[in-house]
Amino acid sequence: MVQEEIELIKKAQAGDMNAFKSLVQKYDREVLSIAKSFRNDADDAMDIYQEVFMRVFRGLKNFQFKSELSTWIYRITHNVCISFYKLQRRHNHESIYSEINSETEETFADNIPDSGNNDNKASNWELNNFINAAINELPSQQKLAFTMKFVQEYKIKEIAEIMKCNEGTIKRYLFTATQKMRIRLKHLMEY
Amino acid sequence: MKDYTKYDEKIMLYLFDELPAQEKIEFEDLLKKDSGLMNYLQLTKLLFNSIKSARKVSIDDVELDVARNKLFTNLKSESHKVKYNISILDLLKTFIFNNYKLAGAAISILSVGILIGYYFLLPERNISNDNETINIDKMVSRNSEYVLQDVSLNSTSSSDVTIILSGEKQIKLAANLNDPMIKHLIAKTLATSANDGIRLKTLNTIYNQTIQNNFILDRKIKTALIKTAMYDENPAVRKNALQVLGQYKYDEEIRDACLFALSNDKNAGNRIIAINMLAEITSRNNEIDKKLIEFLRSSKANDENKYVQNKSDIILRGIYQ
Repeated sequence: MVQEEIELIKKAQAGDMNAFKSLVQKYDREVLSIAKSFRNDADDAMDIYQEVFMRVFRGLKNFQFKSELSTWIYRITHNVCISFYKLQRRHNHESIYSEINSETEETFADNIPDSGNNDNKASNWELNNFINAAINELPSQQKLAFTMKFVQEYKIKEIAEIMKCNEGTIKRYLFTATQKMRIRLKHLMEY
Repeated sequence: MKDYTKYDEKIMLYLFDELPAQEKIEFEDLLKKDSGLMNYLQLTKLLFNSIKSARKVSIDDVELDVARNKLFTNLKSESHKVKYNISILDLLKTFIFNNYKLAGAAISILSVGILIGYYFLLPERNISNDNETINIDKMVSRNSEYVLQDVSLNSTSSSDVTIILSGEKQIKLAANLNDPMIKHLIAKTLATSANDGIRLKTLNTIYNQTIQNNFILDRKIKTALIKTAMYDENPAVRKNALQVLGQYKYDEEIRDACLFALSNDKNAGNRIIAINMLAEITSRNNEIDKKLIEFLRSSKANDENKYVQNKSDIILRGIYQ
């Protein structure tokens, strides 16, 4: 951690709001990016953003410089995303592709409108929506590791630090999630 | 056709560029020798690229600004809550411990002065009730067991009142709202009375007399009103306290009380009163400060209540005309 940041954190811990705002402005774009990639909904991402930084504000006085501030903030982001995910599941939010039934292994190809062309692919919009629906169905930990890898392009080591688990676990999350996506989108992969 | 699924994990790590160096070299050698495996890798790469572009996230500056503004407004009220929770005792402690010698000397001199004044200058005020002489000052003092049961104006054109105190016995006496001890009783009632009705009636009495210029507002009453406007559990009482505060000359404390109400009062009506108060105060006085302007800008952009948003906008336009 650079000395400048350490000084800023200490000022913020002492109650300097301007120092705290500087810290927010340093990391909030990434927090919002993680939230958006996780939830794929602007309003939800905004709620996650607000909650993350309120927790950072309240908890900063207890920050003991044992890790990078960024890691600590992104860890909070991870926790808020998971909490949010669990809350949303409890309220039974449905994805826009609720007709896609995972038990029947209905796939992307089954939903392509019949245009008489065997090589027809759906539009990019439909493809993206299908992929997003598949991602949204992943369990929360897999989804978070998956989006942090594919969207934010964090290293596995960094994801492990943020999610507070070992690298092997992250690799397992990524592998399981990737295999699920492979099954969902298998008709895209022509041999 | 050969089954390449056993390479899925290796391919995943290779495409993530997370294979250890030696393993990467070995895998690349394998890819060069096996075109089927290379083809399988290319399909996986296509899948990964599709996922990345589907989930691509863009954060535009406007969106970030909106999020930041909302956050900083919420943080402001969060930090105000901490600020306003500091009791008078804590403030006194801060003063004393930061400059204890000076504070100690000041307190000593003040105490001696008060004692001298109390014993030699302040006549005891007694009333006769049922052949018994009762000391008024003792009855309305902080430690007195007597509480205000009722206050009523003797006439609308003066601040003479009849108050009823209840304690060991019920005492009815004639007084004047501007009497220092009665003001003390008013402040004590607002702070400690458990009876919503008496707090309301006290505020209404003060308000009516204030607008008729029969009641002289002072520091003690103002402090009591601010605390009531901010913390009283009854929304109607908070509302009336705000209305009385609106009769004071605008200053930082009143501004902060209004901003506190705007930020924290769950009762929409009270928040509307607070913004209307700010509108009236700012139109009467030209002492508009930067903190208020910043808050109004934030309210205009982020407040949940449309009326408060619009009013904030109107006040701002009035300031800049």
